[in-house]
Amino acid sequence: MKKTKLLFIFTLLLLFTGCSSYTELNKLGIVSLLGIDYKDEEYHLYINVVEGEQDDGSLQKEYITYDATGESIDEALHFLYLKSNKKIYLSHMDVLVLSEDVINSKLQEIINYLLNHPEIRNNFELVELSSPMNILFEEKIDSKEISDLIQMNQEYMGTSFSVTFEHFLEDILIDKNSYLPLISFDKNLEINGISLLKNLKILDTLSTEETVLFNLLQNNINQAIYKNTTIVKNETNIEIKKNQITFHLKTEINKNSNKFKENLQKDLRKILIYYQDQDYDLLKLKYKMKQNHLSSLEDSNVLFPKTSLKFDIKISYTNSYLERRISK
Amino acid sequence: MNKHKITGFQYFTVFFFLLNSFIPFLGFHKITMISNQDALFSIIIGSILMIGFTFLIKRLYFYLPNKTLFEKIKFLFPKGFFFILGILFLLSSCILLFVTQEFTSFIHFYLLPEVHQFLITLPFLLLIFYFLRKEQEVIFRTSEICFYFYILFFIISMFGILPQSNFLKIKPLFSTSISSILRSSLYFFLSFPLPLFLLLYFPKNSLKRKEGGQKTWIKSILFSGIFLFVTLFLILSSLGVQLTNLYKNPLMVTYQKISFLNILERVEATLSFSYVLLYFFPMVLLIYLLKELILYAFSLSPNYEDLVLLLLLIGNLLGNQFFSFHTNFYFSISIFLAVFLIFLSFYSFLKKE
Repeated sequence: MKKTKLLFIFTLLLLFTGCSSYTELNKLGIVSLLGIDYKDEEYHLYINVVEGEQDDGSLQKEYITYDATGESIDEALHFLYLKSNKKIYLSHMDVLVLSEDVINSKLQEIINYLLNHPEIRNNFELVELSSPMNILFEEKIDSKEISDLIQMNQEYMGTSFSVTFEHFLEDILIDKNSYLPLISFDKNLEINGISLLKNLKILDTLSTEETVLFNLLQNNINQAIYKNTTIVKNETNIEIKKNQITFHLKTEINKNSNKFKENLQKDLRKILIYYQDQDYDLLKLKYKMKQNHLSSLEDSNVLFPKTSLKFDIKISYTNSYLERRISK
Repeated sequence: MNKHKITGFQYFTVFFFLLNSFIPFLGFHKITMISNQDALFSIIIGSILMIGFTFLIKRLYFYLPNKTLFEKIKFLFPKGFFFILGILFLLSSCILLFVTQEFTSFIHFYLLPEVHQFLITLPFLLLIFYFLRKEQEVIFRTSEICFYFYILFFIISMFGILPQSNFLKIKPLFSTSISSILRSSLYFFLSFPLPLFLLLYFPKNSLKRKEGGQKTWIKSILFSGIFLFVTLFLILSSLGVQLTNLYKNPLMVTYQKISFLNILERVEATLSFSYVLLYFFPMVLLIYLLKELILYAFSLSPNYEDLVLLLLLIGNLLGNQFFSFHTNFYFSISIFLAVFLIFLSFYSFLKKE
């Protein structure tokens, strides 16, 4: 009798496990790239779904694009389902592409949607697209192409910066300001710099040259080319005092240029003063002041515009191999 | 009842799990929302408050060492004991519903979003049913085994979180007022009365001679305090205070970020096993307590144990469909339990054994 009871319980345990709603892998439409646009009071959703299986049963990675519109993201997703013969699975999404319109009008709703979606993880990258969304998706661009483009430019040129959803969210929660890498698509993908957001709306765009300056200040640069000079190495430290912020830069360049330091200092000051005058905290300096116990976030709003900015730039010059040989 | 079977270490592990259930029931975000990074100090202050509280309750534990909590209540209040047990039954049932709901919604949201919540709860309750048909010492022995797994999982997750940590995110410390730190310490302290109430049910003499007691309580509080401090430190350094405040389960979000050498990723489902244990032991002890309460109040023979258990499980399943409880409700019950235990302890001074 006891054994029968136990057997009954274990049978029930097996029957009621998560297996009741499993989905076969080939029935999943794994979304790698998601695009959201907002036009005429409707969301336009685009997805790239990874399609592994060919008609003959062989495996080859390719993408199928679907698009749909709806008054809400849920409605648009519902219409996407009508077009797809697979379950749309967002857990492996790598890149989310947003248009300027959707950022300016529906960013808050999108953030809420992404946060409340149980499948979506917060480690995907965010990108702003300046060209029409449909062209990008018609070309079946891989999310990896976008991601690699940004990474490579960040690493070797300093002209972009990769932003994950979590990073973006943290910035937004600090002071509602953040930034997104800006790309365009016209036959090829292209980096256009960085888009600056203030109060969840686009404020301005940093050109690729300005992005190099921004990355220099953020200590994000490994290598970059700035005004025909290659920056081989850079290290930036920000020293914060009550009424003064000093940027200590140790920059290594490959060309002996007397004017480089002068120009760099002038340009860095120009960009910082410009946004300081607009009361836009480009480098989250107010929060850094708070972290250093110099002021509360509220007080820093008053202090920040009055804070003087100083630069301490040390330029070193790396001789090329040939030059070293000649000088010997 | 089996006497002298529970060891001090087993008792310690059960208490440890019950104290750590602060993570799923109240959550780190509750205290970080009040005092930001200073919530780290709240854990220290809260632990000190807990240790202080054990001195107030000590008398109740040593009072009538062969008797369970219900027998002690009957001895202290021979006329009103039925009424008191009625209130305790009501409160314990509501807490059980709250715990079950929290567990179900956690599994549903993070691990099995497409499975109906009823199907998530049912196998778990069946497991508890099987578990509770055994003797009480089985709860403690299982807890001992699970403790080692829990520590192992903690170490693994710590190594996973550490590479993503940025200790600058812990700054600024001491940025909130003392009143905020004290308020969050009190919130943290409120996770204490329920574990204590559940463990006080067991008579002192059900433990091995000279084991358990106040020293074990203090050891559990200290160990759990250190454990929670390190966990919150890692969460804050990984997510930052803004994101910690945003998520209901920041620990699960940090688990999602873990990647070992970019090869082993998406390990949160495995690591959440330790999270499930934090629901399991409070649920087991609550159902055990309710079962014993019914058997004792109505003087039923042990033959009715299965029937009572089954009714409790069905009641819990059905109750989940009709009622829902907020975290504030848990706070209210914790305050009530704290006052109730102090009252019992002081009253036991007046009435000699």
